[in-house]
Amino acid sequence: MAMLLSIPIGSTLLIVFVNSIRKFPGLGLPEILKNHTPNWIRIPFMIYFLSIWFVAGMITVISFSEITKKYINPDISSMVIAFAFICIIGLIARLRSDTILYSMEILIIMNVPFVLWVLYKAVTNNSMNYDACMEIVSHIWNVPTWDTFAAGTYIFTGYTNLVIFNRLMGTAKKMPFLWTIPIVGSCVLATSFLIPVGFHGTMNVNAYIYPWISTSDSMRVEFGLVERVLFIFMYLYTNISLAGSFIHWHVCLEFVKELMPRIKDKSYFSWIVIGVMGLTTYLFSYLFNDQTLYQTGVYFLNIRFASEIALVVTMFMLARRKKQ
Amino acid sequence: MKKLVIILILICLCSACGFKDIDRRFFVVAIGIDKSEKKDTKYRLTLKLAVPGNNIDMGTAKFELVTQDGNSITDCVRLLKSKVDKELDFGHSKIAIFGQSLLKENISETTDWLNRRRDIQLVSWLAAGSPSAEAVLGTEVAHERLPGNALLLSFGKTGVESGYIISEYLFDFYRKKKELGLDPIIPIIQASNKHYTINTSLVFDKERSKLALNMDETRLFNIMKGNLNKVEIATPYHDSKFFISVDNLRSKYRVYAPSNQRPYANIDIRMRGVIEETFTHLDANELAAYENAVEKTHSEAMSKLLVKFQKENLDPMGFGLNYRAHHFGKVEEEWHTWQALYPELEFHVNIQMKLEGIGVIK
Repeated sequence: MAMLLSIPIGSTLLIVFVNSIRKFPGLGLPEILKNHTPNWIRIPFMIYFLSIWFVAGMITVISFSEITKKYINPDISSMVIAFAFICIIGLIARLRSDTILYSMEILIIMNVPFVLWVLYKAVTNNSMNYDACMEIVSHIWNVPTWDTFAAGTYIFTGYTNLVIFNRLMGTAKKMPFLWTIPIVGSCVLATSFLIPVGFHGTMNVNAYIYPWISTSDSMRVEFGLVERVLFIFMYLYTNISLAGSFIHWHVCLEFVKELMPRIKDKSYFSWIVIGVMGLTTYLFSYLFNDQTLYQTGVYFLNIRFASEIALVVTMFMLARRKKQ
Repeated sequence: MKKLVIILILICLCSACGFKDIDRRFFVVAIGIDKSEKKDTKYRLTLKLAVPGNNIDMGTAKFELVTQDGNSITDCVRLLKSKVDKELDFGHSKIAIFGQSLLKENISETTDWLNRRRDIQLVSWLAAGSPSAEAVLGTEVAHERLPGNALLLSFGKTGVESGYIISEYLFDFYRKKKELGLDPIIPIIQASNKHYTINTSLVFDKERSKLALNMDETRLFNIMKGNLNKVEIATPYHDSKFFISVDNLRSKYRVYAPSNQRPYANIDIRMRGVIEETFTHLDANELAAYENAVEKTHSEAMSKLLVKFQKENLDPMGFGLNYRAHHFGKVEEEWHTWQALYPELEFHVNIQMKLEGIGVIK
């Protein structure tokens, strides 16, 4: 039920936001705020949102260093892995916005065929039990909770990065192919939710901490490049998630730059910001264990959903005011 | 300069990893867990370690068997580590075998270790070993190329395809242990002098093994579940017999619970094949009669097997899950109604046999 509702809600937020921000061609959110709101609103607003973006990247990095430690090299400390990830993400996040978009594009083109292959292997697998999926679908009328909404709409949340990347989107009023996103999003949501259920059953899917990793471990491709799909899946999963986190950190960095306009063009400035972000992440990765990380993730998703609505409403109002 | 510093930092990372070289590890290829014969210990763990050789010809597979008694599997592994000189690596273990005596007790403790360890593949096979897991692992197969490979090729459909072999993955077993309306079933491997026999199976309720299936029942179950592509079936016909080699098999089932009559399950099976052997004269014009004979005898035998499951209140086919999938309602309510329904359930097995011919001789 929450899933079903989160598709229209997520898509509505998406379309409202994109259409509003397109009213300001070539401008990012910091510039828009500067032109249309007083300083005492603008600065707290930006500080709040930059911390949200930073935490989004941080949680991904920490959880992936844990996962990598668990499944790929258990003999290494997760701090070392976190450090390596932070280095790479930090280096990418301080590049120019258009370079980031190009690298994102390359990553997507390289990964999507493999993702489709894994999905194909999953749905045609003998162990995939469609009765279990149907059983879950038959509980569609369960009352949704805020948690599930927050998780469901997270699929669509990528559009919020337009707050910075709108600067590069040219002057065209309409965004092409916007209608594909709800469709692709609902497919992603359905597969990512139902395939683990099909593999691990309706009762047991909760028993796994990382349902999708265990699902990919449950697939065997005898004549594939690697017999265990787990490793291919880990590669893809890490790739795409880290791509997400360097985008988040880039947005965060740009926000900080706009907050301190006087020194933003100094060459050491972005290094310092990235260094602070990396150091914070590194310290937090020391503090979290599996359980607290999971809890923080849930809290973060909930807060994010609320702030996302706030962001969209603000954007919508700004666009209306501009028209008047 | 800047680049050099970064490269230096990244190089520092390399020294920190604790990766052990391949020649400092023992690869466990199979895990066997038995009930301990000693009084004060619970389990007897047997590990089959691959001994690397420099050529992979037929019959050169060497292995080492190490065993240890202990009160928990972790204990056993810990004690075993003091017996071997290299680090044990479970990442390549593709089969876990339980001794039959152990399976009669509660198995949730035993399988916990396998599922909880992150490095044991969820796609490893599960089987019961008879007389014991240790005996199964100790069997030396003359033509084996890689240690433990003969057992692995028996499962899945990579090697032999036999109607008597049920293949069960570790994750599948774990799922069925918890799922309401779907019970686990695993094959029994019998070790004899130089080879294995896998043609029977064990059905579990949620805790322990309940029912052993004999050869024919195992094969019928496999056909009903649609696990196979190829199977040979025998059919009595006019005091004699003929045998069919089926090369295409499909099966599906669905549970119906109409309000004013007894609930029933429809099992539809479609098979195509040719006659392989006969003890009587066959006429190519009478294929329809032969098809009828197959359909009749087999649907009776299958109904009988299903009734046997029903009497034991076991459900390895997953009728309960199928019922739950097609009914809306709270999980507990659905499950209670199903438990009341299952003893009443009637089975309608519809087989559609399509014979393509009577072989290459008349």
